[in-house]
Amino acid sequence: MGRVIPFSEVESFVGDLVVGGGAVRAILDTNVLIAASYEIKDEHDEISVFLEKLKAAGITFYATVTTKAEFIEFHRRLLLTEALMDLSDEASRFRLPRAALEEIRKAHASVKSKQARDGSDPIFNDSQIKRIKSEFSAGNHSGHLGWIRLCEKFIKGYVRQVERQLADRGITYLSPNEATQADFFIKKLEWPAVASLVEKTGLSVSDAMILNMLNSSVCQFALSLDFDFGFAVLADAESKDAFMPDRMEREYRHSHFDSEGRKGSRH
Amino acid sequence: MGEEKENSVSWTTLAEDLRRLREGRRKFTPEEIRELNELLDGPVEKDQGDQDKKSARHPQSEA
Repeated sequence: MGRVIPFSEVESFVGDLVVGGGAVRAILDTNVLIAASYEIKDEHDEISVFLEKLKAAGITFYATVTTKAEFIEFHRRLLLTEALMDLSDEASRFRLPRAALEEIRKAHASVKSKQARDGSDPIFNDSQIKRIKSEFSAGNHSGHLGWIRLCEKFIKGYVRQVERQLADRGITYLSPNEATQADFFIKKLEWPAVASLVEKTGLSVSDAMILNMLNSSVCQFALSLDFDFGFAVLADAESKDAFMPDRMEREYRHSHFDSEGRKGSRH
Repeated sequence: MGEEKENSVSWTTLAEDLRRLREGRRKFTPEEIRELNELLDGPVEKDQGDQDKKSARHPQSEA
C-alpha cells in the first residue's frame, strides 16, 4: 500500500532515501505547480517553501506531459481572463464588438459570484472564453479588433515563456518516448494500469496517468494537493508514496484505510 | 541515466515571475496604441499606462 506522508515528516523520509544512496526524484502533480505559480491559492506559500526545502535537500523534480498540459491550460485561461478584463475596461479606446464586451462582463460577474460562493479562482473557464471569442471576428473588421490580432498581442510566444519558467526550476518531463530517459522507467507504461487505477477509486484519468507514471518510473514519491490523488495512493497495494500538506493527510483519518498506510510514518 | 535539468531559480519567485510576464503582455506601448487606434479608426486617447490593470490576483479590490 502506498502511503500519504505529511509535509512535516519530509526530513526523516528524505533522510532515509538519501542514506540509501542514489538520486532522489519526485513527481509533481499539476495542483502543486499551479499553487506554486499563483499567489491567490491558499497553499501558495506553503508549497513554494516546501519545494525550496526539497530542492535544498537535493531532490530533483519531474512532471508528465499531462501535468504540463494542465499547467499551461491554467495559465492560458489566467492570461486571457486578465487581458479580456483589461480590454473591457478600455472598451472606449479599443471599440470591442458590443456582444463580446457583454460576454466579458457576464463572465466576469459570473466568476466573481462563484468566487464569493465557493472560493474558486476568479478565472474564466474554457466555455466562457469560447463564448467571448465567438463574438469577435477572426480578423479586424469594421473598426473592431479581431481575435487573431488580439492573440498576437497577448499570447503569442507565451506558452514557451511559461514552459521556460518551469525549466529554469529544474523540471524534467518524463516520457517513455524519450530515448535518453530509457533508464527512468522500471516498467512499461501501459493503459490497462491507468484504467485499473481509474476503476479502483473513480480517480480522474489525468490523475491516474500521473500516478501510473510515478509507479512505472524511478521516482520515489509524488507531491500532490489533491485529496483524490492521496486516496488512490492509499487504495493501491502497489503504489509508491505521496507527500501532502499535514492538514490534508489528516483528512484520511475518516476514510478507514489501513492505519499503517494512512499514517505515512515509517517509524 | 537521462539528462536532468539545472534547478537554479527559486520556487518562491515563480508566481511573481509569471505575473510579470502577464503584465508585460497586457501593457500597451504608445506605438501599439497608435497602431490600434488607426486600425480601429477610433479616437486617439492619451495612454493611461497600466495603473488600472485588472488582475485575477486581486479580485477583492475590484468591487
